[in-house]
Amino acid sequence: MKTEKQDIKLVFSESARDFVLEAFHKTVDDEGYIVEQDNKQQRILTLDGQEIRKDQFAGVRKGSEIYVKSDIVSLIEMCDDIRSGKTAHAPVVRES
Amino acid sequence: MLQWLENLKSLVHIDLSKVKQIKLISDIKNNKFINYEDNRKTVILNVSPGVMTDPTQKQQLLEIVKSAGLEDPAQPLLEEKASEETTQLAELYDDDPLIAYFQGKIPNDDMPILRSALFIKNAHAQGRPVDRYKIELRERYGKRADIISNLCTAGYFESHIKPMYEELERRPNFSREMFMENYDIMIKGTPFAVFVRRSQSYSDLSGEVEGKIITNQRYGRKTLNIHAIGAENVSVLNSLLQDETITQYFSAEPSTKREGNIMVAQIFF
Repeated sequence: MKTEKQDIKLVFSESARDFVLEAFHKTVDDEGYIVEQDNKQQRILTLDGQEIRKDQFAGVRKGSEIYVKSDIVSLIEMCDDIRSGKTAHAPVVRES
Repeated sequence: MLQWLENLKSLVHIDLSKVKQIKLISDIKNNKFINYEDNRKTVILNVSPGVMTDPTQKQQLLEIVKSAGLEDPAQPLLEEKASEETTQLAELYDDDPLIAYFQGKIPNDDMPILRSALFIKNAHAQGRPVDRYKIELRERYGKRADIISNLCTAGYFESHIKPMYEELERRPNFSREMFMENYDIMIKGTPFAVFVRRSQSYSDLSGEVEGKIITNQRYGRKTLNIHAIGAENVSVLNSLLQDETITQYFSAEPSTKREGNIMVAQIFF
């Protein structure tokens, strides 16, 4: 997906996942799930309420922060939301 | 230009005029911050701890990365592979008439499955591995996803389900629910069904039916549904039901249901 005004994409490799998570003040708990840096009991959730492991982390999009899983169905749902202009607020994080 | 990109230009001091992509990596074996690939169309920024030793520079880059993800709702910040797949998905949306045709016709919950199935079909045709996608689809939607995916790959959405819709649509009492009921019967019965196809020779068809009868018998199933849509296929099905190669297995008269040019025969053995 691209907007007319921008041709340059920013992407990250699997190796840079930790850096990207750090940018959003997130880290990884002992079981590999992405959690809040300042409260490691709080696992972050996708828009449909799923917890995300670091190896499933595909990225972040605006709305306020929507975390995307890497499976094909999640990517399709993201494409649908972007095409329809849906920018729902992210769900409340779940205490583990 | 988006603000994050302006800020990044100020940080890295490189000419971005020919750049198409900026990729973050963490390579501990490489001590260079900036590298290039793809004829300098991709700028690679190495964010490994050994390179990001200046805390101020690191903090600036972290803030740029965060704003890159949140500045434009149409431009998510994605992992490289997810970004490639998303581009492929976007192309599929624009090009595939099947998605446009079935939107609003099949159950809404089946649309993401159909899109995924088309993506898988496309990837397979391009020689890319698809096992991972099939597993992901099955994990999310269960057995129904396998069935729809198989129907899609075999071209049945074009050869059977679309003609079924068009046939039913001609009826004066047609409703979406009428189509969905028939569609659901087809989906649920697919593992135990044969679909008559114009592209298939009669001998191939009878071979397939005979093979499924034998397989079904082996696993304790005593019936098989055969679907035909279109006058020509209905005629072929009727011939099949008189064919001794097949009728030799019958334990009872087949049960047939015909509505116009849609026919389903349930055979018993």
